[in-house]
Amino acid sequence: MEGLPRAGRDVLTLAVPKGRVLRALAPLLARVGVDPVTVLGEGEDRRLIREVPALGWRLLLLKPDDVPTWVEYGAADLGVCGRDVLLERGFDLYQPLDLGVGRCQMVVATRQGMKTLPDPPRIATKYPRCAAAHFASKGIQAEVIYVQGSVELAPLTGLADAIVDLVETGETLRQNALEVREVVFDVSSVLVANRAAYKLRGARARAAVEAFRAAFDTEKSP
Amino acid sequence: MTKTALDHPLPAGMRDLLPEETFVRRAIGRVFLERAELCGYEHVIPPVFEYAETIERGLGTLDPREIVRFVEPETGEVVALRPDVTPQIARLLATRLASRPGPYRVAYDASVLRRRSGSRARTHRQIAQVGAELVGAEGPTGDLELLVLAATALGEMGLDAFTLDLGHADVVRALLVDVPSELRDGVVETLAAKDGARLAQLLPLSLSPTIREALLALPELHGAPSILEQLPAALAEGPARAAIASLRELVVALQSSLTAHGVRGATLSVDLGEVRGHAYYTGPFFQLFAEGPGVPIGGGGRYDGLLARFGRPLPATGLAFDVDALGWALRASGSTLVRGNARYVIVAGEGAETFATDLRMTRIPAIVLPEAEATAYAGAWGYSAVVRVHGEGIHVDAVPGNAVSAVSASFPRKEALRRLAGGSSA
Repeated sequence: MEGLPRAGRDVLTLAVPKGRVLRALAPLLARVGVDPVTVLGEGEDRRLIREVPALGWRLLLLKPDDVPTWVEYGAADLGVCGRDVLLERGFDLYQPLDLGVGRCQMVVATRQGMKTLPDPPRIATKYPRCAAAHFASKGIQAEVIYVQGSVELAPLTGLADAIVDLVETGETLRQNALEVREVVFDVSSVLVANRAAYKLRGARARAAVEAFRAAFDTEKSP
Repeated sequence: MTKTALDHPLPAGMRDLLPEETFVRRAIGRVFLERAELCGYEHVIPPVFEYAETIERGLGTLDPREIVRFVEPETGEVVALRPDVTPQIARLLATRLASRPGPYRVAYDASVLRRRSGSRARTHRQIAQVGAELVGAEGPTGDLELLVLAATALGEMGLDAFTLDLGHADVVRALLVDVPSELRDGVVETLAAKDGARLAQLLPLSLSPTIREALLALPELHGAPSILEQLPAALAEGPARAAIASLRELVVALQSSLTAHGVRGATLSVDLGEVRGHAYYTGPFFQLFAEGPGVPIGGGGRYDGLLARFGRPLPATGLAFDVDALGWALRASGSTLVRGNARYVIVAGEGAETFATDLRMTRIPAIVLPEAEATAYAGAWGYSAVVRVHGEGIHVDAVPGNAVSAVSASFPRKEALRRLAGGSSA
């Protein structure tokens, strides 16, 4: 029934995002004691589980948005995920540490030079809850249109008046003739922890959090 | 096309329990209610829905948005499917049981229904609970009684390791008094996430250094009870002093009580920064954790403010287990409670009915089936063994993989009866 043995009382399971975020995270993991080769693999390494025997850890490689799900259900003890996902989907997790990796901003953007947003505005976004909550906090009942990608296209084609999206450098906005109108919140990667794991394997979980904190502090002040 | 299960779907969040799951749920309920009854807790069965006003008046830690309400056709009144049993018990104590003397000890085994908004698939909407309320018993004695009840019941269920995590609602409450009211929700939210960095950003510079230092220490103050001995002065001597002292006393009393009751497998921990339900609780509160489900298997605490809302101000403390989470934890720990009972298929023939009757006399389930069906039926329905009666000789064929271990062998009738009734034919 259970193909993979569930994390026992001895192994600490850490859910990490695959891809771009993982490459950004690798230096921090290296300082914690995880060999970058273990996380990033060599050549065509498609294994989704990587053991780190030296630390007694098991890493699960997941789609970034799925990390908090694994952790909330307790299939992973700790995880690394973006604050955007946490705010959009509202998980009940401990968030003991901001890792400062993958910094970007959730913004409202419109076509360059647009003067005022119509009321109610139509907003295209991958983050419907964040978008609705942001406008609701200003007393504006926005019409939120959920799209999965190419969000920047929405204001250009008349699908929406504005977008709510993550912006890292702003290059995509510029190339699509959009500009930031306001910042909704700052985003970076957060270390999250399952509540039961924190209670049941508290010493181990807290030691892992402290290792990340130490690694983060040395990175900040090299 | 043939009919599939999807032709008869269930509403989201609803589910059936098949025999194996039903067995686990009933076993948990039985052990808990028996233990509670031995300690004087009387079993009550409140109705599935009642007037929304009653439920909402007694709402504890739940968000009112979690209540499923509808208009009752007979009266046109708004009623609510109970999201929690505690308001119903409060109503009972304020009305029908009011003439009996306290303290009141009541226990229940009931399903509650909660709406879940958002994208999370996390929780079943229908949640099976067993719980107990102790009303009219003040302070540490009452708190201790329910904690010991929780721990002894878990021990009797065969849970070999669990963590009892204690907090005190007045720790955070005392510190929040000086925090500007518009910031309190944010402070509670960051404490709930143990997010020290965001908490530090939230706290205004105008806050007194003692309160600030105490609040900022909370996200790290969880773990073994020994942390209570090394608290920063801002906590040990600040406004939270009294709450911390009473928590410390409860921990000491609980440790010796658990030893006295022979409870093994319980690990005590404390969490001074715990805020879940802190607005409702008025004293010590707790959550129970065990390996497996990834969520608490139960929890409770002191809620001295609730009964007054029903016109009978009385101190109260409560406990509830999430039966599904607890069942998961019991399976993960290998508890024998969740293994099915020994049950037998007797192959039809001379003497079969008599042998089945003899087994039933010893409280062992047995059914009689024709030879052609016996083996496949026993396998599909989780029977322990197929039994063939040959006059005074009984042949037992174990069903591989089924709940209770049995070996295949022949025995004289009396010996067979003794072994099968003993729950094992080995």
